[in-house]
Parts: sequence; structure tokens; C-alpha cells
Amino acid sequence: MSDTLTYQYNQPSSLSKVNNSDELFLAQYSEVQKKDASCFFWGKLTDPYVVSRCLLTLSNVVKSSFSLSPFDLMMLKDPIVTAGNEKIRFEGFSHCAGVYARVDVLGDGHDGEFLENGTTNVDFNQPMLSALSSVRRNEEVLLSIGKKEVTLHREEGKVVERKVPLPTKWIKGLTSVQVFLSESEPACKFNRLQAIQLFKSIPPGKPKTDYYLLVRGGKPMFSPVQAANAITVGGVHRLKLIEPLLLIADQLQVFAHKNQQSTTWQVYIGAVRFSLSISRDAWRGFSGEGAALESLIEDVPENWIELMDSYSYANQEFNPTLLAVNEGLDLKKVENLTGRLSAIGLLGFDLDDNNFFYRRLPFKTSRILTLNPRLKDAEKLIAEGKVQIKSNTGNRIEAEVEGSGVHHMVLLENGQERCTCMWYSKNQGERGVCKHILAVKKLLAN
Amino acid sequence: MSTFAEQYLKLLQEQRQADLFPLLQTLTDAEKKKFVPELKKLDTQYFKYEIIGKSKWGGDEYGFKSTDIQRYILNITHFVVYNRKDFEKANSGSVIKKKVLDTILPWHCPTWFSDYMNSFGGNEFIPHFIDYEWYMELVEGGYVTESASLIARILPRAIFKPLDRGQAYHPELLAERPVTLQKHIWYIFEHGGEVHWSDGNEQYWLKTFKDFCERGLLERSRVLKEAAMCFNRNFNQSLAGWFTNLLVYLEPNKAELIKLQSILLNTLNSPHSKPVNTVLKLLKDIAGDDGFEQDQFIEHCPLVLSSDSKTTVTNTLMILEKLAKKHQNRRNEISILASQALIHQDDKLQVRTAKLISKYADSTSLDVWEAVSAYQQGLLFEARTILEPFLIPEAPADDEAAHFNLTTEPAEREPIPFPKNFDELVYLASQAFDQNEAYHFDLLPAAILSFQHEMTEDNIRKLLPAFQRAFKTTTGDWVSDRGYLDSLLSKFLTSYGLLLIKFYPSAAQSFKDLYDDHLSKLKEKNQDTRWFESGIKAWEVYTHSKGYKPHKHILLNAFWALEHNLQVPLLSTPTHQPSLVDVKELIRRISVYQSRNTRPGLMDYQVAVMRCFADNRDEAISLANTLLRGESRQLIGFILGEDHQPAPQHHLQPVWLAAVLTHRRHLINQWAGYSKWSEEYLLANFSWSSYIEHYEQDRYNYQTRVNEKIPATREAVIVSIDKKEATPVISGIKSLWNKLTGNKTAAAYEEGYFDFVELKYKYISAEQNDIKRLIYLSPHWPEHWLMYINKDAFRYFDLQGENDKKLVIYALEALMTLKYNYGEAGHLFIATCMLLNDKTVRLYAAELWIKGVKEQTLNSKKLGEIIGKHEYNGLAPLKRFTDLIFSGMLHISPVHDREMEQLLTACISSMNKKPVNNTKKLLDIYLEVLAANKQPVIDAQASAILTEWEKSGNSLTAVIGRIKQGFSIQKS
Repeated sequence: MSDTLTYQYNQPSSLSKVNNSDELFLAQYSEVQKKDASCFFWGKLTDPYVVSRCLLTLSNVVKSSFSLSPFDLMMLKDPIVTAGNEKIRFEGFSHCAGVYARVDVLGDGHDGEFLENGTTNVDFNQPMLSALSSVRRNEEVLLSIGKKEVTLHREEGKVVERKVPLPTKWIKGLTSVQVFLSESEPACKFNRLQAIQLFKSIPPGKPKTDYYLLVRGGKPMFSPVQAANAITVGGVHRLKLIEPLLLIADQLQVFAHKNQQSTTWQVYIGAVRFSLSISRDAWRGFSGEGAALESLIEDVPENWIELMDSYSYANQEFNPTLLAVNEGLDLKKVENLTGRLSAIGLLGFDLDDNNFFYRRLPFKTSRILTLNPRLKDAEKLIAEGKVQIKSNTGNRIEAEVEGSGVHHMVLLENGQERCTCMWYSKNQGERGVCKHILAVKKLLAN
Repeated sequence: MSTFAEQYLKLLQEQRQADLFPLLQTLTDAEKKKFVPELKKLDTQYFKYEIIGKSKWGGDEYGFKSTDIQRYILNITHFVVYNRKDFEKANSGSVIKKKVLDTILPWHCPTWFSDYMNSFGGNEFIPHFIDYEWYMELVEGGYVTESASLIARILPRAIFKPLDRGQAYHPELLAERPVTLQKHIWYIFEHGGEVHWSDGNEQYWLKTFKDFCERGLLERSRVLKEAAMCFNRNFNQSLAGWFTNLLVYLEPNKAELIKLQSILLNTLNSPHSKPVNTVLKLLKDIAGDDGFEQDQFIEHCPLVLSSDSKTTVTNTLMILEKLAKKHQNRRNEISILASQALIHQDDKLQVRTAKLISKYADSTSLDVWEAVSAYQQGLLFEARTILEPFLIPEAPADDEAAHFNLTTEPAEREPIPFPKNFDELVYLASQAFDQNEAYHFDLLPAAILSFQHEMTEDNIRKLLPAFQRAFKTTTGDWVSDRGYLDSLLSKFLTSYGLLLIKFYPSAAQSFKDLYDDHLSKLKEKNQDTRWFESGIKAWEVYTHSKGYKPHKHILLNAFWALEHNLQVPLLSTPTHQPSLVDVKELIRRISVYQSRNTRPGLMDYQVAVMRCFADNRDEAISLANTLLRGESRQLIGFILGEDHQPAPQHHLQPVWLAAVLTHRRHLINQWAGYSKWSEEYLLANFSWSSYIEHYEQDRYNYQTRVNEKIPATREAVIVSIDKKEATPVISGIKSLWNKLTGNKTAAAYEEGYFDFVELKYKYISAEQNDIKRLIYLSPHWPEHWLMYINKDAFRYFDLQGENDKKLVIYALEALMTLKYNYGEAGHLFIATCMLLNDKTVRLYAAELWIKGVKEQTLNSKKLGEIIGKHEYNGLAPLKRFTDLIFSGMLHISPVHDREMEQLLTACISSMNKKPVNNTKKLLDIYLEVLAANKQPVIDAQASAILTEWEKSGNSLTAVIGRIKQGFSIQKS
């Protein structure tokens, strides 16, 4: 990949002693915001010990990789933080884009000011993380995301610049995972004891087969054997990432995707929530699943992004109807608006509140839109005139799409879509539709 | 006057090293920049690695044409002229040496030099010539800005002076500069570095710190504090361990520990067990003292009580005990906290916790009661006895609950959908090679037969993607999840395509084009096309394993019908999951053949019979009476329980045999004559033994440079399958005569499923991806397949590679979907899986036991005997088995507990008189199960072994004593 992303921080993040109390300063950088970075949050953390444990776990997620991609493993991607609406959310992906983690510091978890709303990358450097691991209970820690007083930190005046290969998988994962989250339902709740017991049944090593979460005799456990009502967990060893947090957890809640394509493990510790979402299998990233593809079939009008920016602020619950009414959008056009907006990186999903919230990824939108090769391929098929609708009776549409050497038959019938290509045959629609179906749908939509 | 470049070139050519500095000193910054392109050109010329002549062995000799001096001159010039990027690219690091730079730096120090030097701090390796002494000289000379991370990495080497061989210890070097002890030495604590391996385990650094503290050169309290802080700085395990050693080496006294305790307590967050355990030991010393921060300790306790390390938990409990002893008012609180250790399924830990609680907690306290009973289910016998006052009394076993699992009603059957129209056939065909479902293999030929008369031009066109997949499956690269059966199916589909050309030349033109195109592509790539062009009839697997024949014969049956334009169904196509055929559907299918006056394929018939089930016998009989006649009617009747005898006029001998072996095995002696194989073989009876095998291993001897035979041992499970012919073998000449004359008297035998059932491989290649489909040929009795898996997969006991693992896991997965009474092979398979080296396999085996007990399809005693035998022979650590039981085989239901008791009794009876490791754990479980079942040990053999173990005089005595006391229903 030739494209690179350059993080430019005005100074490194650090945990340092200022006036007898620790200050956790997180340097921030955003590709889309003005360069003279501002301060998003400045204030006290109610339980700094818990927050620092969660941030360390998040850094472990960001550092991890569960598929074979040794290339650029050393090039850490920095997590992103969204501040606003009385909430601070840190989110990040593993290298393989199969594990998504988010730390939510809720209203009671902090006592400070939100000087600005927004989303930004934050610098996670090793010395800062080392310092973070020594934060003790009952300690006073100030958190500042971005610089409050510009002069205060100007000692070195050096810009910390880190170049990393453009984290395509990351960004794509961030836009896709929201779709999985919004399609997940709460499945079970465990107290601390049950959670620890459950995690003790994770087999050692990296099991290649699926495991199933089931409750037998009131005791939760992982078993390799599928049972009725069991939740499918592929690459179960990835869950070990949150094991240390369970020791200080109040509760663990598991959310399962409606088609068992992902699971989310939410740990509740006081006013802090840590969620870990894992993809269907260790070798599958959220990025390649094509979950957001169908939302992108119709083009997103450019002015919407501006509208969203002026209308919403970070972490605010997203209400499509209200947006349509306020901004005079045609409601018919706003169908599946949430899906479309999250696919271009404007929305996140909160499982507890069961709603989308506004959060604009700190990457250029043009970048996000170029990330879906399947969509691009579909557009190419249409442009080259390779899609032919053979019959259309309303609820049954048969089309022929030219593939390599053969014509594929696409059938859209009673809400079910099928294709004769290899991708569809192998995955049966579980990993997003193929380019052929996508092309037919796009042709019909426009 | 010549230009600089000309002068330089001349100097370089004449190798005038002495004149280099004066010449370089004349350069201004602008001139340097101008000279860069020239210099790069010279680099290309002088650093070219090329053939410079012939070596003495006759080959080409490679090297530089330039001299060492010339390259040295260029390296120096790089340092003076290039920017950092170019300098690093030019690979001129050899000038970064004290001797060289001392002569250059006084007149030229590149602007990038400081950053360049300090960047070594972030590298994995630091060149040995960058030492602390020289680095400090550079700092003092103003050439380099001090970097803490680099100093932290080079300082650990500063107490040594290199000798010709090894190094000498000179700690006094540290005192040469005041800044070293005042500032730099603390960088080691902050940045880590390599202090843990810099002194080759000789403890020089530990001695240095101790010595310097004693001499007052370093502040002892600060060293202690910094060392303690290092436990939890995200350092790696060995570095954190080294700092732990440092703290212990300094022998902190109680007052110092009290002062350090809040830092030490934070260590309990550390992911490494060594610092945690050390800190707990230290805290134990001060736990009884007045200054001990009990609140803080109690707050941190949950972190360590659920630790996987037994020592950690024990140490924590010891501290809690001390605290409980001292602080009377906090006893309940401490007991509630301690109860968290009951989560461990370990007898010792549970007993220690239980004792603490029972000694200090108030049994009337609701809070304690609540905390302890949360763990009630996982409590082991002894701990439960101690904690009885704190537990909710168990409700007497409910009879209904006890028998909940003894239902033998037919399970809900899940039907398999058959393609309803041509479009559905199209989507089935395009995914037939993906193994989305095992039964797709059976469904495809059946669906083609069903829609064979709808092959219009349009429809054939729709099938092209599937044909293309078939071509690629036949000739493309092998993929890891493909089985040989997929290759077989692809050849079937291709052959069918060719048949279409024959039948409908114009409609099938699109197929012909695709076929020709693929063929010409293969030819273009110079690939052998014979395999592609040979039809399904020529298909063979390279191992010549006959096990694939049943599938091939069924496809041939289908192909024959297609060739003859016959509208008949395949008999063996499954109607219900996983691969079952409803007998009523089978009757209907047979009747189609009878109405067309055609005979079904024998293999198809056999597999259908082996797959068929009847949920309503009477309905099936009456349907058979209406639709069938002759031998087939009798055969169906026989499957459904009617009495029939072998008769000479039977045409379907192999089918009768399949029916007997699947549905009426006890009658085999009457019917054995229908096969040439012995009864023993037909019933999948075999003998096996497991032992430690002595063999000779090849090992290369580096001194003598030859391979030598070294005696070695390995685990082995030897399965002997006695595949004997019961009827006399036809002599060689007779068989030749039969071949020449086309006499096919033995044909019936050769069509038999039991002639073919075998799994043969030396190195497993793709069999794992076929095993489910092979097992599903006879879902009511797959014992032969299991017999062959036992033979090959467990030859060296533990599973060797990923493919072997998959073979076993897929076989286990298939068994989970079946319900049949396990025979010898099934028992050996499950019992062995319980001890293998893969946890998933073990867990699967445990699940099969749970399922088997529930459905009453297996014999726990037999499993116990096999496990005991394997353990007797030392094939696997007993821990694998005991951990497996703890992980989810205990207290599933009263019935399961009773079966577990039988399993363990049989296992102990078969074990060695000398106890193996972890026997104590096994006995803990046994005690637990006996207590749950309220049973004494009655088995004489088990009692004898227990007595032998008791004599061994180790930790087993107490538990065996308790087991022998027994439990009885009256007692409770």
C-alpha cells in the first residue's frame, strides 16, 4: 500500500505530575479538523484507576493481531477519541481489524469541561502507557484531550510525527462494525464471578474451531459443540484481551449479532464501560465483511455531511426524522439514512442505549468512500454494460451479469438475493452481497 | 585551478588519505550540496560488487574493484557531505567510531549527528562500539544532546572493561562522573534497557547496587522505591523479574517495606506472576504489623485471588488469615473476600479457604452466607463438608429431575429441502463444491436426475458458472478445505456436461464453448489435459483407498440413468439431517424403479438402506405392501422387523447384508454367507493395544558426520484389523481365467459396501475434508470408519499435524449429529480423544460422553477401562483427563454422576499399582462423585488398587482413607 497516513502531534501524550496531581495529557490530531488543534476535554477523572486499566486494555487490542499479517505490525495505529454530550469514548481496532474495542467514560466518570465537541486521533506512546500502568486507586488524575493552554506545553516545541501505512482496514472496520453492533441483541448477563468462571473455560492456544457460549446448570461455559440457543464465538482466544478487566468488573454483558456474525462483550466498571466486539472468525476482519455495502448503493448527497456537521455534535443521539424535518430533507430519500451515514464514518452505535450517535471519523470522507472495492467493482460492471435485467415482475427480478468467462445469474426474489458466483456460493450472503448483486441493485436504484 | 570535484577524484584515485581532511575542510555548505550528485555517482562506481576474477575452485569470484582505502575515503566524505538520509542509505556506519570521529568532529559535526546517535536508543541492537564512556564524551563535547533512553541502554555495560576474552568487572567506573550516579543510573529504572542480561547472570549489577547503597553512594530508599515501581511498568517478564530480584537482594527490612507498601500493592496489577508472588511474600512479613495498610490490601485482593497461579492464591490467603486473626471486627469482611478463592477447582485451595471462613466468619451472617453459597455448585467434597454451616441445604434429589435425560423418544427430525425448480438446482450446483452442507454431494446428482428433461439452451447457460467451478476444481490448484470427494463430484458434473453435448448439441453449445476454452487454456499452459478429459469413470484417488468407491458407485449409478435418459430417483439421497432417508420415501423411490422395470444401483441401494429410518413402522409396512413387490418388499419388511431368511434367489445380497449390519446385527451369523469377509470383520471387531514403543531414531552426528541410530521411545496405539476372507480365496489361475473369460461370479461381492469401507493413507492429505461424508454413508453404524481412524490417526497417540487434528475433530462433529449405540471402535475413539493433546478434541469427547449417557448409547465402564489402560501405559498426562472432568463433566445430572462413578471405578481398576502424577486429583474427583452418589467403593479390583496406592505413602493416604470410609444413603 503506497498511501500513508501521517499523524502529526504537537507533542507526545504523557502522564506527568503537575501541581501534586497527575495529569494525563493526550495529544490529538485530526485530518479533517483545523490544524491548530484545540482542547476537547479538560477535567478530573472520577476513577482514574479504572480508566487507565481500560486504556491499557485498549492499547493491547490496538497492538494485537490475530491473523497472519506480520507486515507493518510495528506500525501502531492510534486510537480515536470522541468527546461530547457528557461522554468520552475511546475506540480502536486490532491490526487484523477483527477485534473492535471501545472505552466509554460516561457522565459520572468525569468531572470537567467539554471545551469542544469532536473526534480525533490520540497519541498512545509507550512511555505514556507505562506510566498509565502505575496509576493507583484513589489517585487524582486530570485528563486533558488536546491542549488547553497552548503556552503550557510549548517546552520542546517539536512536532511528533508518525507515519503509518494508511490504515484502510481500520477505517473500513470502523465504518462496518457499527452495522454489526446495530444488528446485535443482548444475549446474557454475568456477574463478576460467573464472568471469571466463563473465561477460565477458554481453551489454551489458538483454537481454530468455533466455540459456543452456553449456560449449563447455571454455569456459563465455552464448548466446541453447538447447542440450541448457544452463541457462536469464532477465534475465542481473542477474548483473553479483556480477561484482566473482569477482575475489577461489576458485570459482563454479551450481545450477539442476529446472524451470529459477531459478538460484543461489554464490561461494566462503575461509570466506565469497555466493549470488545469480535468478528465471526479470527481470520476475518470486520473490514472485509461488506456489511455496509448495501447502504452505499445510493450515493450520499454531498451536502448531507455539511448538514450533519452543523446539525449534530459529538456523541449526540442520532435521530433521522428530526434531521429530515429540521433540514427539510425529503423523508423518502432518507430511507436507511443511518446505515448510509455510518458507512461513511459519521455514526457510531451504542449498544446500551440501542441507538446511533454522531461521531465523525477523523479521516477524509473521500478516503472512506474509496475503501469499498466491491462497490467500485459493481460500478465498473454497470459502466461497462455488463448488467442485464432479464425480467422484472416486482417481487422477482432476474438478471444476468457478465463474470469472467461466464454469465452469472442474479435472482432477487421475496427479499432474498442469490448469485451463482463463487463469493455468494461460498458465503451464502453472510459476508455481504457480491459485486454482481450489488451492481444489479445499484442499477435498479438509479 | 581545478574544481573541487576534480581534486577529489584525483585524491581518491591516488588514495591520498592524508590529504582528505584538508580538502574537505575547504568545502562550504553550498559546495557540499553541489557535490552530492557527484559523490553518489562515485558511490555507484566504487561500491559496485561484481565479478573480479576466477576463484581457486574455478567459479567466479565476487568483490569490489575499489581498494579498502578508497572506500574508507568515501565513507568519511559521506559523513561530512551527506544529509542523514543519504548517509544512512550509503551504509557508511563504519565511520561511527571513537577513533575516527575524534579526528573529524572538532572541525565538522553534521547537524543530524545528535539525532542520529540518539536514534540507536530505539533500535533493537546497539553497536558495541557505542559505549557510555564515549557517548558521555560526545555529550560533554557538545556534539550530542543527552538521550535518556539511549543512556538507559548503554549504561548497563558501563561497569565492565573488555578483556581479550570476556570482560572485567569495574563498578568504580560509575563513580567517574557525578552525573552518572545522580541522574543517569535512574534512567535504567525508568526505561528498562538490558540490565537483566548485561552481566550474564553473574549478579554484578545486583552486587553493584547493594555495594553502592552500603557505601552511601546511592540512596538506598530510592533504589528500593524505584525497583518496586519497575514491577508494574509494562516491562517484559524477564526485566520485571530482574527488578524483583534486585529488591529481594537488597533485603528490605520491615520498616522499609511498610514505607514501600502502597507501591508494592500496585504491583498486584502486574501481568507477571514472579513480581506478584514476591510482593505477596514480602507483604506476608508485614501483614501482622501495625503500619500495614489493610484497607488497601483488601481492595487489591480480588486481583490475586482469582489468579491462575496457585502460589499467588495461597500467599494471599495466608495474608488474609493473618489479618483475620488480628482484626476481630473485620473477620466477616475478610471471609467474604477470601470466599473468592473458592472459584478454583482445586482441593487444597478450597480447603484452605474453607478453613479460614469456618474459623473466622460468623455463620449467622447473611452476607457471608450469600458470598459462600455463590460458589456452592463448584465446591469439592472436603471444602463443602467444612463449609456446611454456610451453605443452603441441598434439596433432596427430585426423582423426575434424576430421570429427565432418560427419554428415548425419536428426536425432532429436520428435513433436507430438495430443489423445487430449475433455479434452485442452479444455485445448488454452483455451491456444490463448497461443502456448505455435507449432503450437497448427494443432492446434486439427484437433482440433476430430477431435472434432466429441462435442459434447454437457457437453462444450460444458467448452469455454466457451476460447470466452470467444476473445471477449476478438477484442474486448478488444490485448496486446503477441498476433499477428494469434491474432485469426484466435479468430474461427475463435467461428464454430465459432455453428455449434454451428445444429447442436445445445439442447446449445449455454450457448454461446449466453455469446455473448449478451458481445454485450450490448459494446453496453452502446457498442462496435461488427460485428467481433465478422462470422465468420471476413470476417477481414482492416488492412495487407492477403496473407501471412496461407494460414493463413486452412486455417482456412476446416477450417470448410468442419465446416459439412458431414465427418469428415476437415487435411493440414497438423504431426506433428513444429517444424512438420513425416511423409509417411506425409500419405498416410494424403489417403487418408481419397479414401475419402470429397472433395477436400482446396488451401491445406491445399500447406502439408502444404511441411511434409512422408520418413525412409524406400521405406516411404513402398509405403504410397502401397497407399492412394493418381490425381494425389495421383503427387504423393507426385514428392516422394519419382519422375519426373513437368506435365500438363493436373492439378487440383492449386498443390500441384505447392509440391512442386517445396520438394523439387525444380532442376526449376522445367519447372513454372514452374503459376504466373503469374516463375521468378526463385518461386525467391526478388532484388537488393539497401547504401549510405549521402543524404536531407533536417526540422528546426525556432527563429529563423525554420519546419521546414527539412537534408541528412542514413542507412544503408540496399535489397532489390528483382521480383514480375513471367510470363503476360500479364488486361486490366482482361476481368477485369471475368470478375467479372461469375462466370468463375473464374484461380482456381487465386489459391489458390497463392506468390501470397500476403509480409510487408507500414509500421510493425510485431504481425507479430513471427506470424513464427514464418509461417516454419513452409514449414519446408524459408522464403526468401520472409526476403526480406521483409530488405526491411523492414533498410531503415535497424540495428533501430529493440523490435518490429523481436523480429521478427528470433523469425525467428532459428525458423531455429535448421530445417535447410535457405540461399539468397540466408538468407545476406543471417544476414550482416546479424552486424553489427546488438543483441548478442543478433549472437550468434544466430553460432550459426546454427556450426550451418550443421556441417550444411553455408550458404556461408561468401557470408556473408563480404555482410559485406565492408556494411563497404565503412560500414554498421556493424567492431568488432561482430570482437568477435562473439572471443566464440565461433573454434576451434569444424577445419572451422569452415576455413570461418572462407573467410569472412574473402571479407570482406577485398570491403572498401574504405582500411582502416576496427578492421581490425587483423580481421587479428589472420585471422592466427589462417590459423595454425590452416596456410594461406597464396591468394586474389588478398584479397592485393591486403592490399597496399593495408599501404601505408596504420599499425599494420597488421606483421600483414600476418606474414600474407603464410604458414603451411604442412610447417613444423609
